Amino acid sequence: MKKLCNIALTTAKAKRATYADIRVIFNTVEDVSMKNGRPDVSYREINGFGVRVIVNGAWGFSSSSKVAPAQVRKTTLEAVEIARQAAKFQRKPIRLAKEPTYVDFWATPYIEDPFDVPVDEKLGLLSEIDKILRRNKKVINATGNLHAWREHQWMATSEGSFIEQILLRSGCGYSAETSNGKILQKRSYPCAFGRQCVTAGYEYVRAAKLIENAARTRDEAVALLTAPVCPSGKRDTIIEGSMLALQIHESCGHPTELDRVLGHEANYAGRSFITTDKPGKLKYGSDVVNIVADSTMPMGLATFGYDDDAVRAQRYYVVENGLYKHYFTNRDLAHHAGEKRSRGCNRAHGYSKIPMIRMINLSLLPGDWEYDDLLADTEGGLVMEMNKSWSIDQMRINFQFGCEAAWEIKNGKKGKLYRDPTYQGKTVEFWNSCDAICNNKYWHPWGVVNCGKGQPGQTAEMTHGCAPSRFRNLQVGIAR
Amino acid sequence: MKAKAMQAICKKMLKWTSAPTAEVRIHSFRQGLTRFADNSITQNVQELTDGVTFTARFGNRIGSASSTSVDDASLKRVVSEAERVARAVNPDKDLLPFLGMKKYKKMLGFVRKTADTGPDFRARQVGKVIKAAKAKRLTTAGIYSNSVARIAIANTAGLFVTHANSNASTSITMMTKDSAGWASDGHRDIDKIPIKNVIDTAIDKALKSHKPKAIKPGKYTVILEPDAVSNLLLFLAWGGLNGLALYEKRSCFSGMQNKLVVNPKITLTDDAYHPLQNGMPFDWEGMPRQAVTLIEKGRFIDGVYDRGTAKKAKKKPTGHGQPQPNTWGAFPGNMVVEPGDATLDEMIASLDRGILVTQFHYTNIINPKKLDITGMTRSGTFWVEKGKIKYPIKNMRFTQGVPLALRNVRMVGKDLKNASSLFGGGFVVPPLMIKDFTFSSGTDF
Repeated sequence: MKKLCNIALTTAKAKRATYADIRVIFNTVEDVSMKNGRPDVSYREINGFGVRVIVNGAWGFSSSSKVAPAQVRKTTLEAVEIARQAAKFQRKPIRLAKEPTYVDFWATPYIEDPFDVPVDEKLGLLSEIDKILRRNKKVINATGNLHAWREHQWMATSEGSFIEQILLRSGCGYSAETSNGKILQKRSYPCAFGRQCVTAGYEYVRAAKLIENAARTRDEAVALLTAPVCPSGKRDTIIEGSMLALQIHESCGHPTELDRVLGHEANYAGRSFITTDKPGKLKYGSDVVNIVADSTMPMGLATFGYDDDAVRAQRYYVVENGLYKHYFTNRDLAHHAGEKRSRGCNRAHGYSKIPMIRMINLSLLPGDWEYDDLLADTEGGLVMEMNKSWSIDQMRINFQFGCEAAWEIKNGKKGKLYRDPTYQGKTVEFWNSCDAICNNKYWHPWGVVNCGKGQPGQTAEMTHGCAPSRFRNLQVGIAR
Repeated sequence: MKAKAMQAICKKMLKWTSAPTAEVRIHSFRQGLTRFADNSITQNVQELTDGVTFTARFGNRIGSASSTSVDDASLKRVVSEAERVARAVNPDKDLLPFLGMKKYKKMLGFVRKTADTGPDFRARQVGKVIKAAKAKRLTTAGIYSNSVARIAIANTAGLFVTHANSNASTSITMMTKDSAGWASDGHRDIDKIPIKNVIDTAIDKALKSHKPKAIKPGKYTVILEPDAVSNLLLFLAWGGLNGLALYEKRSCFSGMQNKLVVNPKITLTDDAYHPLQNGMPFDWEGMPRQAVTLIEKGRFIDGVYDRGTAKKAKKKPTGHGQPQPNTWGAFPGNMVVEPGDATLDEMIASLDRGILVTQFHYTNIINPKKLDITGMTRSGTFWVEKGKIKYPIKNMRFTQGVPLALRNVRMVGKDLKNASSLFGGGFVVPPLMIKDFTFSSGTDF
């Protein structure tokens, strides 16, 4: 592999590239799915390489799925030509923040390789869940998925880094969709949108209590059909981790991406209200809000040894005691935030896309509340669980989220079930209204597997750890 | 990859397999995209991806495997993986036999120049955008892109179909310190992108959006430009017009066949053969893609169907299916709204009080059965009074049922555009004037 990588680096150097890197990636993906008893199994190999060069102070990138020496040479020459064309309308030459060079192998730990678990065993598990979910005729769709993803990557840079990494992800999940002809409802487990994913082996799936939670999931989905609509108004609301994770993602993660702050996403995903004068000054949240970026955390989907800039993984505060502190950065843009070193957030969707700033794992640190104490302290409030829909403006200020289920809090416990709960607000007001966070017993890492950004579009995965948290006077219910 | 090379791969794989019946699907995609921001090119990329998917069937057992590597060793591995999976799965009684050759319409999908255009041309076009922005002291961001895609499907029932299409597109945001204006265009023929018009429209909207005023949330008459209309229709396509959703009674139109469901001014078809569309003449099962009337003068006619759902629902397949085993249904990806007779200017001139919306952002479903959705306005939102644009307004969140919005249509524009939104689209639509469109909250810009 080193020889193949060197073809790109020497070709680029001969064409006067001042920097070059190549990432060769072999992905293997297996999805074992079932819908209403019908199996759907797919096995995919996604192999290729991408070459990135700086020529005349500008980036050029080209990629190919044909991993062969002649194609590496051809693709590198294309990247050089693309960079030359870009340089014609480049305002300032690219400046890369300094980083030591690394020669290393790094891999996510696991106990049981999910690719070694036979497909028929996986289908047997899904079949058992399917039977439980469809025991009630109100369930019109029962879907389940077991997912395995191995990403084997090699990265070589003209500065001397040569890094081999193997990232292994496992995922599982199911949902029951119910209907009475007029209303559609859904409950999912462990989280919404198909599956919960982590960097781990099949041991995660075995420990996920999938069978144990199937009947409850089904019964709640059925109960939602006759539940009243969530009331509208201002309510103290406990947001469970299965919803709060996406709130962190949308209202803290994206506005923290420095490329958005600088307007690089102005035409597509959008910009950010956290302008470069805000770090160290913006009271983003209340004093109990501590949000940490961490690409070293166990089981995170954005957990790696090195990012796609060959920068070593890091952990740092984005928000500390409510005060906004640091962005997600890469080597190219770090200096715009007054920083000398990248925070290691440059990531690409596979081999075919150019790396760009993506949020890494971003988690709300646990507080000190016991869950039952928090319920008891929130009389008359609501509990909301599991994200169902999301929407936020392009500056990441005004948001609205929908959840699968909500409960009133009565006599210190979860009471009446409500359907179609939503809440909306503005980011800074929202996080400043947070006054209680449950302790680490209730803290859980939630994976996001469908984060879209960039043109051409790229998908990225990351994890948001959090525990149930209370927000005072939240606007709940569908405003009309 | 050329069609002949695809055919050769198909023949090899179908010969190698031990499965009694099998199918091969091949795709080849090349895209160049130049991205700019802050009046500078920030990203300039090219991608070349080939891929093959092999589906093996042993009776009612089916399995698929795919790879982006198309050398013989990889192709043999893909065949063997698909067979391994197929042998392991439970029998699926809903599977249908693979489809043989059918008659397919020819379509204008491919323009050589679009496929062959390189980074030099894209850089020159982007140069025009940046120059125009600087001349008006604006900051610009956007893309200029060209791509070519070819697919082929072959199976043991004798099917071999192939199709290629090209696409070029640009989208441009122009910004002042407190405003933004956006415009876009796309076509299979790169020479038919009116770059100057797109630049001028984005500049005009940005300049007119300067110093926006806040207005109160509530119900307003709106004029939605085509990109905003396309956004609404995307959710209708997903949740309303998929034959499987109709069959499973998940659709907002389930049980509403031949009933008036939207305003009689609306006629909606799915027509891959429309001159402004860029679809393909068959679906992923090899069925010829038909032009389908979905809504005619406000009456719901029917959705689109894959073969499996059509059989269950006692309908005819329309050529909008996915590969088997398809548990997802069918998608009308080439929708066209029949135009009205008013220009956008005439629509604005006829509006007493209301809001002109350029595009929506980050829209999502709240209630899948009623198809209530929410999203934000973006990059050019204006207050219209007594037939004139009076002033720009700060962006607002809308919360609105799509069928209800289409019931409240008051005018349909005459100028069609192939328009998309953040999460997809590619629908050929005119601007629409809609009464009582609900805005539920505002934002700070």
